[in-house]
Amino acid sequence: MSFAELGKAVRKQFFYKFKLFFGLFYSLIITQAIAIVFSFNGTGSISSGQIGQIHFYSADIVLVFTFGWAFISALQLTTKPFRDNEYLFVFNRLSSHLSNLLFLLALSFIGGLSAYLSGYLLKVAVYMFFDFQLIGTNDITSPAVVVAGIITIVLYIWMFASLGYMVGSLVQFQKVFAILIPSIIIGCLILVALSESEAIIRIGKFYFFESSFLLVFIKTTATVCLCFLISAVSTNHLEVRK
Amino acid sequence: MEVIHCENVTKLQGKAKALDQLSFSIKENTITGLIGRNGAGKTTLLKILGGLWRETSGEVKVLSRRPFNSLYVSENSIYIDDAFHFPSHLNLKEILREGERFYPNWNRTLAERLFDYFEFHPKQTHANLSKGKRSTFNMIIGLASRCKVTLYDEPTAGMDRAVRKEMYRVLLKDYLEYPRTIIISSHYLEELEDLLEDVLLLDNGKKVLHLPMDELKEFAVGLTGRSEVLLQWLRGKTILHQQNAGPNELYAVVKKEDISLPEAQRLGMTISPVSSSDVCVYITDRGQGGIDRVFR
Amino acid sequence: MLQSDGTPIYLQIAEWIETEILKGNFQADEKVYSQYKLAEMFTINPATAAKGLNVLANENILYTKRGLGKFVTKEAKAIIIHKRKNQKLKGLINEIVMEAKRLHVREEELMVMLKKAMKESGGQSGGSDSL
Repeated sequence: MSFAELGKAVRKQFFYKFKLFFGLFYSLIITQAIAIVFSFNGTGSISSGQIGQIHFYSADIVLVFTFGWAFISALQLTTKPFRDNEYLFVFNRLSSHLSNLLFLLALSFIGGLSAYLSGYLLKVAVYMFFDFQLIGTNDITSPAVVVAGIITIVLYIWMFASLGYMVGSLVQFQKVFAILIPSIIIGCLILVALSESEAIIRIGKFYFFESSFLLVFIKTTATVCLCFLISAVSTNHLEVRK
Repeated sequence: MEVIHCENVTKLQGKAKALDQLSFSIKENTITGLIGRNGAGKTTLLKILGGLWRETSGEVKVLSRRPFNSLYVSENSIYIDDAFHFPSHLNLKEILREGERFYPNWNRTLAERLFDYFEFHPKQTHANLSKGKRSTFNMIIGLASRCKVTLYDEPTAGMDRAVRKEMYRVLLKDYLEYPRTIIISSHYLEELEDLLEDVLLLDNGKKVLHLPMDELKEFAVGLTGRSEVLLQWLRGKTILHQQNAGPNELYAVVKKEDISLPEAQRLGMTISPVSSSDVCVYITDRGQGGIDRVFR
Repeated sequence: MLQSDGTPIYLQIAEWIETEILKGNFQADEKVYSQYKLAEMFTINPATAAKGLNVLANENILYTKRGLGKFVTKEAKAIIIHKRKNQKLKGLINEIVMEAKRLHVREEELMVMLKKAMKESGGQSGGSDSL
């Protein structure tokens, strides 16, 4: 199987999946709309006697919701109804994973762009509907910063998507993961809440508190590759249309 | 040239053997009928040949490659049954367009003409089709794809007789114009007889026979005569099927090669041909008197 | 056009071609239908049609011109008549005899029936008018 053939197949599958999974975009819109509503509360506020209350608004909540959406959408891709849709046409395991990876990237791009812009939408809405005085907006120093910001968001979303894909693949591989993984996640969340686990907080910092763009790029792409590798290996023997 | 080659192929589903040490080959550009009772392993075999399922053991080669996970086999073969699901937001015309994008040999004219002939509407969705219409549509996809290896799994399920006849004719005409290797599994052997070159009969996952169609038609012969005479004469030979044909008269089916026809005639027995579908039924009969046993 | 009486299709095809030759629809050295044309005409597998053609070629009723197809030999008609006389007609006669035996019809009665049938169909033995 040459690269050219593989590339052709992946390309064909990519466009096919775009048409097939169109519904995911609707769920994106709904998810982000809900997130915006939640954001009206502001992502932080401080009170100062003389000035009054200062509210902070940003796209953070939208972003977190988008992470969740990406995770769940990717997970859905690994379930039977989605997988079975491919078998009619030309596919094999490898090309299927690759086209899914690219499709999720496209999905992340759209979700990321939309999340970024929703921040501004939110601010405009707040300014229009509430009686606030606008103090300042976050600084846009140059187009490069904007682009870097968007790409960063897209990469994070893509990373969450690939995590979802990996979880879904593992579950398809061995049903026991369906119980194991949620237990682990809930366990971790509890530990974080109790501030007991240094390790987990450190993982979070590893990803999200990185200031160098290049390092973010490397970390997220490496994680994505790892997730897909695990997915590919675990689903290698998976059959279609049982 | 062998396009399909199976050697000692076994497929386990749980503990049960859906295919059991199956070995056979199929030559290029032939139409083979895959016959057998429900549960004989026909669908299992076709899905393995099409790369959807994986064999448990043994060697499967389609176009000289292992079909499972092979992009090459996936591109040059197509598996058609009446059960695929397309999402409801893709209409029929769009599905055909996708087929065209994926398969390099796709014949658009044929697809469009058949689409119109069988009165489909472009905006219809796949899920809304009736069973027979869905089979027809799926078969159109199979035909238009012009894949080197085309696998039809009971493609005419739900179609009425008129449509079935037309579909067979379309299948044949397109095959004449563009030869390829076709396997059709079907319950309607009598209808397919003229189309088939070879027949592969499965039972309980095993190969029972693999013969050219006209050999299958000549495989067995029916003898009618007085019961004692017949049974005496057939002592020691395998009787594939027997039933009463009147008081003291017996109808028995035996392999043609097991007996001598002139001798049968001399003994006053009536000789009648046995249709290929009957042969298949008798050979795979569960024996012990058949369904009549329920009524004893 | 095809019977489902258990006769192999390829033999039925061969017989049909023989009859066409007898009827004069195919003359000596004329090309007969290709296997594909036959397949299309009768809705059968082309391999089956090819088998039928080969049977006739083996019996010297047809000859093959490489790349062009199968043609009627000069001796075709004679061979067919001879063959049918010996096989088909003989076979039919045997069947009549057996049936007559079963019905206890004697030879004289059978001959009477035969003569009557021949008179009614208008032909005389030995005459091959349309040939």
